[in-house]
Order: sequence, then structure tokens, then C-alpha cells
Amino acid sequence: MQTEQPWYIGLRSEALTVVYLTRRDDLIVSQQKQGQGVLDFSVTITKDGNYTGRIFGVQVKATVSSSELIQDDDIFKLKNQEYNNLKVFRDLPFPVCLFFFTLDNDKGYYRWILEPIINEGNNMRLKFNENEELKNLNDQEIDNIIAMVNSWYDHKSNLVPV
Amino acid sequence: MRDALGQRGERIFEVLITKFHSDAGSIFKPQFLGDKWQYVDFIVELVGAVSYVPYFFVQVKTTRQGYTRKDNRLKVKVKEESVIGIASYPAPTYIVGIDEIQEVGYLVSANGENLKSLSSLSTNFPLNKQNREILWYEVNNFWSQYNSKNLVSQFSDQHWI
Repeated sequence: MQTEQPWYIGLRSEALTVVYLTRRDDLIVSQQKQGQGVLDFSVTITKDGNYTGRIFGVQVKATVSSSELIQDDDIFKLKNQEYNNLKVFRDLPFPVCLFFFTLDNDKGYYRWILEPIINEGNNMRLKFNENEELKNLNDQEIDNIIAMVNSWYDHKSNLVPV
Repeated sequence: MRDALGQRGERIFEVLITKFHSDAGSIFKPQFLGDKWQYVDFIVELVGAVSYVPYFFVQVKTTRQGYTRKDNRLKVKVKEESVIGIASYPAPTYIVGIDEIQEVGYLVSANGENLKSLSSLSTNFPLNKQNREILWYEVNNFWSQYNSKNLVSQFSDQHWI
């Protein structure tokens, strides 16, 4: 039986997501209203203040206690796998990340759900990531996420000659 | 679209005010009121009061400008009209200044102690665990003197079952 989560889990984890992402000033973070789609956030990457059409998704999960994570060097895993039912995002046409927060210390972790991949021959695709390992979420990792998304869109643009 | 700095400041406020106070979690429950409210940005309920729900209002002001050299005050501006507006609510009201870069906030009472415009805000009361606790008791004490039974409504349902 699923127990109801305390009210502050959603509020705090969503607020933390916006606070983490808006440390960069080139991201427009839009929260999806309840009942409007499956994703918690869509994030638009701007360039020189202008919309680029480059979007990626963020799904947010959180737990009250950091003791629900198992750490192995820089890799973290959740003891409870109920957070990992993410197949509903499989068919989305853009990259999607999972952000995970432990609310007793406000630490963030992430992993790709739909990872942007560029194969040999510059073919780009999205890989549905079933690896449950989480990494620390910090400013540098957010920069890496944005760089990967930008690179994926760069290669997408190359598919059709202008 | 709301301005990005303001939106970020409001989210930083939510994170600061809902920080876990104990194992029981947050002691404040904020609700953003939306852009159409002229003077206040949040209504915040106290969690854990016994038989009623005390609340207060907050206006959030966010800055990237840092602090004054003299007195280390946060460089936020609040117009006189806004100071008077927020103080006109018959409930506890506060201005919270957010330093967007350091992601910290400072609380100042806006309950009519001063009705002039504000050009910088005191940093004497950071939104930390100690001040959250003082705030909780301050607001709870305010509402504990209030008796809702004073209201004799014309709209009471005599056959409420």
C-alpha cells in the first residue's frame, strides 16, 4: 500500500529544483500544472536571452531522510526502488533528467531518464536509462547536463541542411 | 512571465522557510499568492498550532546588489505605498529580503512600525533556525489572543447537520 507523502516533500523538492537550475541565467524553468502532462518541469535553454527551442525535461523525486541513499564513492543508490517507475517518460522526444533530493540536508542527486546520445557518424538518439545510479547534483553537473543537451540539439540541427 | 529574479527569490524563500526544524519536518507552510496581489506574495500558515491555524503575510524582495558598506544592510528597495499596503493587513506581516547570490534571506517586521519607503533592509534577522522558531511563537501568540467566536454572522446555517 502506498502511504501519502507529507505536504512539504513536493513543495520543497520543486522549490529546490528551481533554485538549483536558476543559478544559471540562461534557463527558463516552467513547472507543469497538475494534470498537464507527465513531467514536473520543462526547461528551456536560451541563448543571448532568446528562446532557442531547446527543451529538456526534469522529473523530481525526494525523500525526507538522506539515510534512504546508499553511497558507493561518487555513486548513490536508493534503498527503495519505488521511485524508479519512470517508463512513462520513454516516448518523450527530448532529453529528460531525474532530480532527487534528500530534504533533511537539501542535497541533490540526478540521473538521466532519457539520455542524449551521439553515436558514431553523428547520429543522435535518446537512450532510456535503466541504470539506477545517481550522481551528485551541483553547479558543475548542471553545466554538464546543459552541455550534453546543447550538443544533442546541435547534432539534431545538422540532420537537415539549411 | 514573472521576472526571473523575482521568481528565483520566491523559490529561495520557500526553501528557507520550509527548512526542517526537527524530525517532524517544516513548521511553516507557505502558499504563493500570485502576481495579482499587490502588496503580499505569500500567505504562510504555522504548522503544529493546537486548535486553530495562525498565519502571516510576506512580501519577498530579491536582489543581486549585495550589501551596504555601512551597517551591512541588504540592498533592496520597497516603496512607501507598498510599506503602507503591507502594514494595512490586520495580521502579522513581514518583508523578507533575499540575497539571490548567496541564497540567504532576512526577515523584517512590516506591521506599521515604520511607514516610510525602505532603501535597504536590516540583516539582523536571517531566516535561520533560531529566527524561524521566534517567528513561529510571535505569530502564534498574536493569534492566540484572537477569538473567532466574536463574529456573529448573518449567514449561519441553523439546520447544519
